[in-house]
Amino acid sequence: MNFIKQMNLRKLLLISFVLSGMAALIYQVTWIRPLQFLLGSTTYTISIILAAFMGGLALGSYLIAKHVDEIKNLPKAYGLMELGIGLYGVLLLSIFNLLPDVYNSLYWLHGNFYVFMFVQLVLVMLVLLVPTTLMGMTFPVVAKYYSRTIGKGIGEVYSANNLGAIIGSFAAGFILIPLFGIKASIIFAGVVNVIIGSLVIWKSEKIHGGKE
Amino acid sequence: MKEKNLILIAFVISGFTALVYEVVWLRPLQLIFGSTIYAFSTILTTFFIGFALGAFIIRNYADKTVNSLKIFGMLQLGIGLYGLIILWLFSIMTPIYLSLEVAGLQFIQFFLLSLVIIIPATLFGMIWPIVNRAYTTNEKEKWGKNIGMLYSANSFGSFLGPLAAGFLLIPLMGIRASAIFTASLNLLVAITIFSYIRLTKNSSGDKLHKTNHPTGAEK
Repeated sequence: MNFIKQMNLRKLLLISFVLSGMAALIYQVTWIRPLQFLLGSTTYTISIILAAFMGGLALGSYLIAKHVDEIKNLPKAYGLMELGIGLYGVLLLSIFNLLPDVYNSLYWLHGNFYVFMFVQLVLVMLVLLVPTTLMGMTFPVVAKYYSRTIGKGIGEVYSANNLGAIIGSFAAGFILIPLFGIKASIIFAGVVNVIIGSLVIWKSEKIHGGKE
Repeated sequence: MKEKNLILIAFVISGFTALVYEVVWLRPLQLIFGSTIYAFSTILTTFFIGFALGAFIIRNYADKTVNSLKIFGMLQLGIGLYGLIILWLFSIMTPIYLSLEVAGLQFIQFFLLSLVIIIPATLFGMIWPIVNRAYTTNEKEKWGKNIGMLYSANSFGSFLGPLAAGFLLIPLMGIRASAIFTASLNLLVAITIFSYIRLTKNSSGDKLHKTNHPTGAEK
């Protein structure tokens, strides 16, 4: 009986991870827009945004790597991360409003190209730091909980996340942004994160609740 | 050098090259599509499709093989060789578009270019289960740390990749040389892995596979 519940939680985690990958790409595609308005739309800007995203993922997975194996309730930890991503994702909307002032106050640095680009990278990384770090933390947690054998486990978790990324980048570019605009798209992604986070936490409490 | 460190560094470089390719291939595709957004979407979407496909195809094989490190090297070899010819592949496609005067041209462009990019993207996707198999230990209590370190290493490479491509490689060398430079990094990783396997096999028998799981571990 407990085994079946466990199975279901594994499946739920995998499906959540598809949706999580989808939300991540909706953020990535939508966040690029306000940042491009601010920093300009060049290969430099795309490089900086891509790097800021990846830097957060690297940091998050590095920070969690030492602790994953000590976490008792992995699904709950994952659910909390999803909640955090969703809430901060929506909060970012108001942070973007502050950015032009910050940017203007730093504009005097633009005389030196590399200094100015570095300042932009740091600025974008700081703004995206919290959600991207949380995103980076989710992979080891989900992979550890889901995997029975390493090849099959990693293969399926990684595929699931990338499947979500395909759906997300397509949906954001061709459906969400054209039909509903940037703001609504970001809120949509945030709601997805909050729903899967709550669902996973609820389910994991039901199974692991007594044990802790 | 310890095998684990070798794998970790190789995976940093692998993540680095993936993102350099994304930025470098953006340029020729911009010229074909005449638009940054379409070009970027094509590359991004095709990469994700390839990642998902590659990881999924190889997942069971990754558990069975006892040569995961060697396969990692072969995947790098394949990416490197393909990286050398891909710009040429993009260029021979141009006459094909020019000869087409049909509705939905943009879709045909997307389809044909995706076909070119999906091959290296799938190889990149295959690396994930393989490299995890090669790196992680038998004890499940340590999987989380191992998976986390690998993910972090790859993402760190992917952090450096676009910065190097956008600010150093392309401005200094141009597109063609950047692509060849990146492909030679993949080839270098492959050669290093093959030499490591040969050296350790000669000196200490089958020590290489000590850290790997027994076949079909933990069902």
